[in-house]
Amino acid sequence: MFRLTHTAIEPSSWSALCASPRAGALATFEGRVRDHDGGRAVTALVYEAYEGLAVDEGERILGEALERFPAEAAVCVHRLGRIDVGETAVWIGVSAAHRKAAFAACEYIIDELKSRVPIWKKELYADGDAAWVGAGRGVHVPRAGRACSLRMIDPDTALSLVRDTTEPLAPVRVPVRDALGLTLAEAVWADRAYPPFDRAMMDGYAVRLADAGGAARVAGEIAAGGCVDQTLEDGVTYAIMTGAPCPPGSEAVAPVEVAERRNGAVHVPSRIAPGEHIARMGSECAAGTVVARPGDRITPLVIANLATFGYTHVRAVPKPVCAVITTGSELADENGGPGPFQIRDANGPMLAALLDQAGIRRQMRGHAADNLESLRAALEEARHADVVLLTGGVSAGAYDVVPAALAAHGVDVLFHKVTQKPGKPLLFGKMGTRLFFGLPGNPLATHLGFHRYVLPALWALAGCAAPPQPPREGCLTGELRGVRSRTLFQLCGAVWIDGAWHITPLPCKGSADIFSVATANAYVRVDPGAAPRHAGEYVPFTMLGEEGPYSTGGTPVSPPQYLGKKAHTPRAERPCHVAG
Amino acid sequence: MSKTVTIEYFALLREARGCAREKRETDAATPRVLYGDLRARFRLPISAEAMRVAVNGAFASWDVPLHDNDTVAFIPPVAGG
Repeated sequence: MFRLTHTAIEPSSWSALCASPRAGALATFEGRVRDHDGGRAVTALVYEAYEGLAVDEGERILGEALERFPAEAAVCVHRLGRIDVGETAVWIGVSAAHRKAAFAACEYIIDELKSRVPIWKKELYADGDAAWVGAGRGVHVPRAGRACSLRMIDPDTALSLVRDTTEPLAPVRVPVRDALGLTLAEAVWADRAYPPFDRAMMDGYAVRLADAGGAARVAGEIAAGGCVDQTLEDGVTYAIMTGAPCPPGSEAVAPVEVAERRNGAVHVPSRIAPGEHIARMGSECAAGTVVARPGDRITPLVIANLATFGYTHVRAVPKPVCAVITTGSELADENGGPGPFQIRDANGPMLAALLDQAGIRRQMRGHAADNLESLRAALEEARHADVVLLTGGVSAGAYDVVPAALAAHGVDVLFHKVTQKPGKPLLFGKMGTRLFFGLPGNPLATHLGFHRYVLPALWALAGCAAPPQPPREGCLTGELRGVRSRTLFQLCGAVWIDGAWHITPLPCKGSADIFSVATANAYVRVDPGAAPRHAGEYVPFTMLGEEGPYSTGGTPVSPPQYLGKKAHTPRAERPCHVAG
Repeated sequence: MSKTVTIEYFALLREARGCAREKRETDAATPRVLYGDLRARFRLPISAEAMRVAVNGAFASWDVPLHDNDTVAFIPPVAGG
C-alpha cells in the first residue's frame, strides 16, 4: 500500500497495516528532515508530487519488492507540503517471516522511491534562500519567497489555472432550510406518486359518466384533506372541493358553475369528458421519479420538491469557509482613529461585503503586521478556512512578505503576477485542497481580483459546474482606451435606457481611487493592443455581483432538436470557461 | 496537425513556466518536439534528456505520438524520500 499524505505520519497506525501472523519480523525505515544539507542550515522542506503517477509508481515498487523478497506485506507513506526539521517525510514498513528479507525489501523500496517516484523537495534555508534538490547543478532559486521567481502570466491562463485546480468540497448533509443555493450531491426522488390520490382540480361534483345529462343524488361533501372510502355508484355524487380526493369510481368532476343543484340532487351536464377535472394518482410524478440530480443547484423550486418528498436533510456541496487577512502596518486600529500617516482599512470591510454578496456566510477576519512572524500567526489562526484571502504585502517592496510567508507556510504558489490592470501582483496558491489568494493592497486591485478570480474559485469549491453568465453588450458613452502591455479591466456605470445598456467608463486616478468609481456596477475588458473604442460603439461588459453561474437548468436540449432540421449557429460570444 | 494538449509542470519547471497547468494548441507530433518548443519559448531550465515524460497519467516515451486532448506532464529529476 502506497499513500501520500498532507498530515503528520503516525508510525504506529501505519505499522498496523503490515501485520501478518506469518511475519516474524517487521523492518521499518523513517526518513526525517535534518537541519543541514551540504553545509547549509535547513529550516524545512517543501514536498510536492505528481500525485496520481506517484501513487501508481509507488505501488509498482512495493509490488516489485514483494516479488523479489519473501516478504508478507509492504507499506509506504510519503508526506507532502511543508515539513519542519525533525518531522517524518517518509515511512516504510515491511513484514516478513525472517529479518533479512524485511531489511532488504525495506532498502529496495527507499532506493527505488528516491530514484523513480515523481516527488520533489525544496530546501528552505535558515538564511532565507531556497533550492530544489536534485534538479541539477547550478539550479538555484533566489530568496525564500520563491513566488518571486514565477513568470508573469496572462489573465486567461490565470483564470483557467484557478478553475482547473479547484475541486468541489466534500458533500455534507444539511437541513433543507439551509440548502438554498448549494449544489446537490444526491438525486432527489419522489417517495410516492403525485398526486398521491385522484385529486379534484375544480370545486364541483364527483360524478359517473352514466349520469351525464341526468341527475345524481348528493351523498355528501369532501373537502381537501377529507376522504370517502365508499365507491361512487351510478346516480350518486359527492360535492367536492379543489384539492380533495375523489371517491373511488369517480369518472369526472363537474364544476360547480355548470352543475345545477336542486333539492339534494345535481343535474350533471351532458357534455362531460372522461377524467375531466381529475388529476389521476401518479399523473404528475410517478413514485421513484428523479426530479433533480447531483450537480443541480438547489433553487426555491428544488426546495419545494424536497419538502414535497419528505426530505428534512439533503446531501449537498457546502459553501467554503473563507478567512480574510489584512496586512500592513499602515492600517489604523479599528477602534482608534488613524494616526497622521495611517489609513483606515477599506479592504477588510469590502472583502467581507463581497463574500456576503457571494452568499458566503462562514467568514473569519484577521490582521497581520508586515513581518513573517505576524503573518505566520494569522495564517495559523486561519487554518480551518477553505479559502484564505490576504490583502496587501504581495508586491515587490521590502515589506511585501506575503509570498515568503506563504511559501514558508507550505503553500504551493501556482502564479504570482498577472498581466492585468489593476492588480498585477496577484498571487494564487494551494495547500492540499485549501486555496490562498494574495490580493494587492490597493482596493481596486483587490476588488478586481475578487470578482475575476476569487468568485470563480468559490463557485468551483461549491460544486457549481455551470458556465458563468455571458457578458452583455452596451453602448459606450465615452472613449475607452486600453493599456499597452496589460489587459485593462475598466470599471463602468451601466444604465438601462430605452431598451439598451449605456456604459460610462469611470476613469480613476490609480488603483487606490475608490472614490471616482464608488457607484460603478460593471466592468469592461480591454485587451492589450486593442484599438481605442469610441462613444456609440457596442462593447461587451460584465455586471458586478451578477457574474455567478446560472442554475444548471437540467440537461440542455441540443439546438437541432428544438429548431428542427435547420442548422443553428449560435452567435459568437466571448469564450466561457467552464469549471472542471 | 494542430491539437489541444494539457501540459502539467512540476517543481522547478512549474516555477520557471509560472503555472502548474495550461492548455495549448500545438502542431508538435511528440512530447519531445512539444518540450523543445516550450523550452525555447519560455527558456525552461531543464533539458529533455534530464527528464522523463508522462502522457495521460503514465510514463511514456519522448517519441510517442501526441493526440488531441492528451495530457502531457514533464517530470524533472525526482527527489522523494
